[in-house]
Amino acid sequence: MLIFSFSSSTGLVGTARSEDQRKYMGSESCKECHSAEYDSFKQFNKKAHSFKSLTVLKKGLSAGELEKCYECHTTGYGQEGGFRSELETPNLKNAGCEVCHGPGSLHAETGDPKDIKGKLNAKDCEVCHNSERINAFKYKPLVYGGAH
Amino acid sequence: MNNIHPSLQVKVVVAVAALVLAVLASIITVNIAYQQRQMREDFQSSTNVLANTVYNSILYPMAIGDSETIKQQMAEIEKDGDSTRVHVFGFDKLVTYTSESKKIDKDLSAEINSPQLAKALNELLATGKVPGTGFDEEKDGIHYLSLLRPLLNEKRCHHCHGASRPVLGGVLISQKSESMFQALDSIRTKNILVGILGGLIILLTIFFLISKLVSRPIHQVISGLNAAVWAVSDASNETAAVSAKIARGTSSQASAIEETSSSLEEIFAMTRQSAENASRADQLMNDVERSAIDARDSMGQLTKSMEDISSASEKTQKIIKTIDEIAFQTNLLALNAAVEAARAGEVGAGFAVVAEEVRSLAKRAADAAKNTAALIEGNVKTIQIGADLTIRMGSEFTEVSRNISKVGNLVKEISSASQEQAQGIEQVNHAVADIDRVVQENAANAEQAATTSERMKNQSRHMVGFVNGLIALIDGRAKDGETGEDNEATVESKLERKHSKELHI
Repeated sequence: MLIFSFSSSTGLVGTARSEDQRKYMGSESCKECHSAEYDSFKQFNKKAHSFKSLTVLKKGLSAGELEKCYECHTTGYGQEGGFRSELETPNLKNAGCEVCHGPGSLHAETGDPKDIKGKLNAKDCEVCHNSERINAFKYKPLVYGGAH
Repeated sequence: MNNIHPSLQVKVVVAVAALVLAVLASIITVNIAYQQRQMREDFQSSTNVLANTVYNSILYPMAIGDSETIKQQMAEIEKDGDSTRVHVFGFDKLVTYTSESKKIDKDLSAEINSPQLAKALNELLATGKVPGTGFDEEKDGIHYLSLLRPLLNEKRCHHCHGASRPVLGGVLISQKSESMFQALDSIRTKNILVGILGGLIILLTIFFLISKLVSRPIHQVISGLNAAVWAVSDASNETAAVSAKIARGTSSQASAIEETSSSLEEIFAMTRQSAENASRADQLMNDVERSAIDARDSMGQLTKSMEDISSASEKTQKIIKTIDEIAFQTNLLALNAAVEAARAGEVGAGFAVVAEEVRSLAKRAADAAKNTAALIEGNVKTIQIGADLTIRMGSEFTEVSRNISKVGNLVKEISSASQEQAQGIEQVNHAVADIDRVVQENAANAEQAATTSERMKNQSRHMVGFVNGLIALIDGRAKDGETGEDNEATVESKLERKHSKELHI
């Protein structure tokens, strides 16, 4: 499932990159313009702390298993400009804004809402929040509940 | 010897005490073990319930990654005090969640004070299996009962923990068992006290019952037995002495009877000889009687002959008288002749001579006739005497014959009496032989009785020794310094003394 979501995400980002060369900036880049959403996201959204689970659980995981975890617990792992490691890309170590809204370098540069994916739907969430995980962890995505 | 000989009562009580104590100790031990096991099972059951509760309560938060809830639960447990400790640990034995906050991220091995528990922990992490029982631990002087629960890497866990490890870790739940151990100590103490008290009561009861129901009747029996044994001993002594005397007397009697028997044999032989002699005498007497009869008959004939001789002599005497008369007549004739011859002178001389001769012949004839008559008369007298003698002899022979007949009858009676006597003696001899055999048997029996009496005497001595041993066993003391070994010797000396006294008396 993760592989499938990774492929979908890669396809989406790949299309954006091929068209716009957009890169992942990290959620801190969103703070200046979207401070309220950022604060709410940081305070209430579990994604903002998703890397912490990896720091706790990674000791029992193999390298391959850990890489699969990075796909949903970090921002843009395996993609151009995405998360590589905690030391190299500390700003991407949690699942930030760009996990759902896509790479924000162009939007950050232009400030044009068209340069980023603004409206999201459930399918965007199912990349990580598939039905199995929802049943297992009760992490139902709050697309309409106001995640931030 | 100054050996201590406890009484039978004491021995029995000691033996029963040992048995009772052993049984009570076994019962108490089993009871304590049972109660301990029961209490331990109850405690473990409650600990199991607690462990299951804790395990189930943390399972869901762990499944959804809600570590905060787990931490709160641990904090709640910690807040309740140190009666319960919970450690959630990973495969590396590091404590992830704990009710003792200072133990977080510490190695769980340092918290374990039981080798069995440490071994079970390794087993759990290797295989995911845990034993059903808990483990006793002592930590800081406090006893705990600890249980392990595995956290298996189920499919629902693979999202966070991957699938490479079968066991993710486990939960160690320790519950303070001081109260259980205190209760066990209390139960043990109560059991021991109850056991000691019960044992004392049982021992006192046994002591009393033995004294009342066993020792006293045994003493009575021993008294009776002792008296009976001494009486038997005396009786056996007397019996032995009497038997010996009887044996000796019977032996003498046997020899006397043997002599009597041989004498009787001789008497029997002599009597038989006498009977035979009497029989022969009887036969002889019969012969004599017949001879006497014959003699009497002969005497009769002799008498008759003598009478005939006498008669013939009388006739001869008459003849002689006739001859004498003839001779006288002849003489007269001769005289006449002579006279005539003388007358005739010379012519007659010759005649005278003849006449003389005739007269001489007549004289001689007369003389011869006289002599003959005298002889015949003497013969007649003699014959008469002989006849008288013959008659008297005949009567005497008759008397003799009668007497011989009487003697014969007497001899017959003697003969029959001798035969009867011989038969009687033979019967007596048989009877004596029977008596001899009986006496021999009696002698043998008397000797056997003497031997038996001697054995009986010895047995009675043994019995006295046994009774004294029994008394010593019951009373727990050796009378007169006796012991079980020298009882018999002492009894022997007592009996000897008693026997000596009896001999002196």
